Amino acid sequence: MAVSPDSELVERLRRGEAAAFDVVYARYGKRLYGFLVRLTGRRDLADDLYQETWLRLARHAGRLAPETDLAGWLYTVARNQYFDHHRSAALDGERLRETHMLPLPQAAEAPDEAAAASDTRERLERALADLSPAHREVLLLVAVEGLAQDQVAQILGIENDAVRQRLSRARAQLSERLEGRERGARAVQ
Amino acid sequence: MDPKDKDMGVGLDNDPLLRQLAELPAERPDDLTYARVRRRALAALAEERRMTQHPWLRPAQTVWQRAIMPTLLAGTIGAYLTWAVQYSANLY
Repeated sequence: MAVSPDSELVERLRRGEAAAFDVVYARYGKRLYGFLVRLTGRRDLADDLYQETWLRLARHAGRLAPETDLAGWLYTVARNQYFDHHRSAALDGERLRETHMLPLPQAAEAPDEAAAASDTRERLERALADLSPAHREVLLLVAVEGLAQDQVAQILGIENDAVRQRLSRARAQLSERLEGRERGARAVQ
Repeated sequence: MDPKDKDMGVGLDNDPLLRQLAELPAERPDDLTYARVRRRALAALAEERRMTQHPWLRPAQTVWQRAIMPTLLAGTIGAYLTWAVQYSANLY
């Protein structure tokens, strides 16, 4: 079956075609969820924002501009909703602390190697969760989601140069935190 | 896409830390959530389409929700309270 380009899907979405929505959902649904889980650090919140993002696409489908970049649109809505939530959560210290709770990934491999890999992964997940949301999101969009620079700039609402700078700072902070965690882990052993 | 755009000048492909990030296991929604969100969004899409096909529905719905229904509800409650007060007054 031929793969529909996003531009064609936008056109069909504008006409309210359910089949086009299904294709978009299958293409971006799981990726978007992964992004939200790591951005929020909470599955329950990610679930809510995930649903709200897709409902917004459904309600806004008829008003999409023909040249809309679907991936960019979805990630923009998802991250804007997170930051709206984050701003209101910042008024509540306890909820803010909860934003740092990230469910641990489950190890899929067996014994020693898997344990070591899982340990490294776990430290990476935790170091990522410790970053500021702005740094976390740029790393997620670039390294995990693999989006292009232009798309990331558009999603974050900043210039390309600013994306590069933010990415570089985020990477440095991640590395710093990861080293701190590794030192801590060695000290415990 | 220009490879430089993808790389962003930070050595994305050669950076072990960013590569580790890219290799993190995917987080997926559970089947129930995935299906529930799809179902709700499709319902919203169908509703939106209905509104687009019948543009008069939206203002009619607004008038119903913001004017007629609250008035009817308030009227019913008012009538019931009046009846209840009168009934109680007649008892004593």
